[in-house]
Amino acid sequence: MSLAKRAEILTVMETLTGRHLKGKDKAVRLSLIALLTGGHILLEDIPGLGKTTLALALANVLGLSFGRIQCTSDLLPSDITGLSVFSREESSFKFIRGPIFNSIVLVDEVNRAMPKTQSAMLEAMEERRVTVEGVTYPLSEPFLVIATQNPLEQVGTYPLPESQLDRFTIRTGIGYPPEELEKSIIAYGSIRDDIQHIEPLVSADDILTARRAVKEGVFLSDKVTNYIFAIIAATRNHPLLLSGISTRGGINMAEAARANAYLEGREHVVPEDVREVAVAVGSHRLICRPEQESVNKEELLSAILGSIPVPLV
Amino acid sequence: MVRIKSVLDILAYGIALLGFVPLVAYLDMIPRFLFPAVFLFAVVAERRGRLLRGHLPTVASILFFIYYGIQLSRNNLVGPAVNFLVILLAVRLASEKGSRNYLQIYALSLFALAGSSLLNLSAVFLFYLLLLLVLIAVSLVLLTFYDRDGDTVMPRAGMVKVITVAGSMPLAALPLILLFFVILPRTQFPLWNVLNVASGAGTGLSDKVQPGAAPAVADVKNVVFRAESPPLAKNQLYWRGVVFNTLEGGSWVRSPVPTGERDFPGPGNVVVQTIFPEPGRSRYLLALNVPRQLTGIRVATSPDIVNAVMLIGRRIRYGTQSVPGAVIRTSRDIDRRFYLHLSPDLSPRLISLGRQIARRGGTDADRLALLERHFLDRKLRYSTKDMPTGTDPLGQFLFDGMPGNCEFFASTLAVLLRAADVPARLVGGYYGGDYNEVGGYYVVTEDRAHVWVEAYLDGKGWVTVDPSAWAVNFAGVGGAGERGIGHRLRMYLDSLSYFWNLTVINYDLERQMTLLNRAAGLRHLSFSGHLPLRLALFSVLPLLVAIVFWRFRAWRRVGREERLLKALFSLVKRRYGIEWPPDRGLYDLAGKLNEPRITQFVGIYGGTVYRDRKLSRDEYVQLRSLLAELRAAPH
Repeated sequence: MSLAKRAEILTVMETLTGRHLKGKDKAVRLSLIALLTGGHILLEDIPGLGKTTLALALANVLGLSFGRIQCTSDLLPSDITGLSVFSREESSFKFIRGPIFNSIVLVDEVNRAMPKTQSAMLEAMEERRVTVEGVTYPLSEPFLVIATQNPLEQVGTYPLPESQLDRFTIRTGIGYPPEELEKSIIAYGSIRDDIQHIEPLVSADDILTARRAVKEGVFLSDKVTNYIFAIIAATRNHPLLLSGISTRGGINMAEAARANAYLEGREHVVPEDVREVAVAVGSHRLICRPEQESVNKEELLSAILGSIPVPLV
Repeated sequence: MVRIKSVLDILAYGIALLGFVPLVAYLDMIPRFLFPAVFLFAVVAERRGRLLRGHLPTVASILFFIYYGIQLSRNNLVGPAVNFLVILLAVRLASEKGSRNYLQIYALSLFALAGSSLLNLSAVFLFYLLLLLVLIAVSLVLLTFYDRDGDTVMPRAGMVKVITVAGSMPLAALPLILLFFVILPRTQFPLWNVLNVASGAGTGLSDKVQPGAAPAVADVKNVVFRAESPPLAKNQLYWRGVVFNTLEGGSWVRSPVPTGERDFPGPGNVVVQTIFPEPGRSRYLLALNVPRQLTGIRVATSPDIVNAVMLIGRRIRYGTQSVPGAVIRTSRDIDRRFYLHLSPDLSPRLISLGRQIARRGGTDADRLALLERHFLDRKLRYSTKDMPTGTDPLGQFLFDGMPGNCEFFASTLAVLLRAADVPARLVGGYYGGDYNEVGGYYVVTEDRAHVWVEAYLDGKGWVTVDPSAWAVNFAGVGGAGERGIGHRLRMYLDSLSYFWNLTVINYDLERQMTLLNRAAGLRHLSFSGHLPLRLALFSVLPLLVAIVFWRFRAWRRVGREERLLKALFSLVKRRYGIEWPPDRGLYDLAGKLNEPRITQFVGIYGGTVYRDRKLSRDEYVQLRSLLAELRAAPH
């Protein structure tokens, strides 16, 4: 029982990486980890690498409802959450639910939205409910936000502050596909139409069961807890960093490591699980000193991981 | 109210004095004056609570150990030892005492007193010893109170009662002590066996040889005797016990030897042995055939070389000189009629065969050779089971193909020899034996009991003939020696029992002194003369012991998990040339090497370590065997 629904989740992963999302193994895996931990994922990459395709494919194969928000500088919070509209037939205001009420929400170019909208959305992500005009509406379960942002664009953007970034369990890039693969993608064109026809392989209940299995069926030993603590403590004391990984970052790291162990078919977390997710979970939470802004945070966190001995005994 | 500790202290002072006083006359200047001074200091310091503590006493002890260790030599063993004991006693008195230290004081005092008995054989020793035992007994009782709670106080009356009861215990035990430690070890009679003599039965050496009495004989593995001896060839291992010279009905018995006959072994190599028989029923003394002389025991030797003692049951030992394989000469011609007598109820087929042989062979030697031929042609089988019984067992054995044991072979041959006009008699004893290389002796057990024939060949004398050797399966009988670990273990155990008998039961002061001298004479143990060498030895030795102890502690502290990991990493380094970095885990290693055994190892190991539990015994063994497999596997 302890690793319930693992086979189904693995099938999902294999179907996606093997047929529809070739070359995006890492992003798919991390998305599933985010899904299994109940967190959210931030895809940071240039446009046109399949961020939207990934989100769509994931939504279809999981059999979940899908909503999409294209952020612009004039996007209002109510465009996300929904708003009350006067219904003439009923002579009353009726709440029209916004895209955030879907299970999988793709928030494209999240850094183009105004801080006000950003914070409304991020609050919904964290609280998992929306309060509009004094009424609180719960969001659907499972709930996964896949936000994307283009790190290169500077004009007309409102970069997410670190405190907001901390809300994302995982931040990762997608990267260019391998050469051969990219050639075949170019040759055969977009697969957006195929994706529309993917049969759902799991249900929302399956995902919730798997989520419970990750939380309760995977053992996190004191040794690995100490290892996670050693990592976040090292980021806090690092000379290049102004501030390191928060306690929430530590929690997320442990959750993601559990999910990784679950995917590996282990009922206990090992240091390799932590190492595998640490950069994706931790790097976006690091704040560099002003004079070190240009440092690549992912590489920095990798270097820090390399300096911490793995607990073996 | 009385404090337990103050009573204990007074007793400890008394006990220490009892250790010191008998030695006073034999001590060096240092301990002789140091002890009383320290003793006084201890009494005073105890009252003021200013006893020594910390490392000072230990350091002083080590210094004195080195000082006296250097003086130690073959000729001067006891002196430095008792001096050091007294110093240790003084150091113990002067330092703070826990219950463990009290026990040390008692032990040291006992050793010191024991040491005094090596220097002085005065009867006062016994008085000191008894006093010491009583004091120690009382102290031990009080010590149990003290151990529970160091500040125990007790009403005076209660204390008196405790001391009286504690003191009466050793006094009550005194008779038993005397019984167990003074009388019992000195008896040479095995008390239990003497009481149980009647129940001893089995194959063994009996008073008559009666083939056909029973269809099978049970093997009994009881030790009959041990013989300290050089190793001998197997065909020489005939242990002569008794001679059966008369055929009565179907059985051979022993009759008085005809007067005038006097047997003695002919020339040959003499083997000297010491025989330790287990106390038993037989009064015949066994010796390697043919015995020339028995020493170290009062013995009645018959003319046909049968040795007997009157005293049985006692644990004895005797020396023998034997001429193995010799022909027995006689001082003058034997009484042929006596040795040719046949009983009338013998099987006619045997008698007629004997007569036939007599006609065919001209001399005694020819007739013996013909009989051997006949036995060999018959292809007789040796067995201790399914033997013929009834009216004509010998005939059935020889003619009807029934198997027989040595009694059948020997009886049949002797009867045929007598029928063929060759004087013959049976010799009962033992054949073979397990040689114990550890102790350098033979062990002979009951099941090796054997009977063979002596034939009188005119002009030569009594010739030993073992017709059992003519059986087709004789090679596999009687000591197709067993090998293997069990055998070796039994041999070691047996040699323990042998040495115990030798040195403790057969208590022999003279022998013990020679043993002691031999031990002292070992050249490599004595190191007189080289003072610097001894100095070095006695300063380095404690250091070495300390280092070994420390290393052992460190090794013990390192868990099994660490040892396993160390083994795994060194294996990986040797086999794959990978120095695995500390920031990478085992699962990475397994994934990289892609070796199923390492993957399995990591799976089991990680399954315990990352689940916050220790390796179970089974898992540990499994991991070890995986490592061993990896080491053995070709790369």
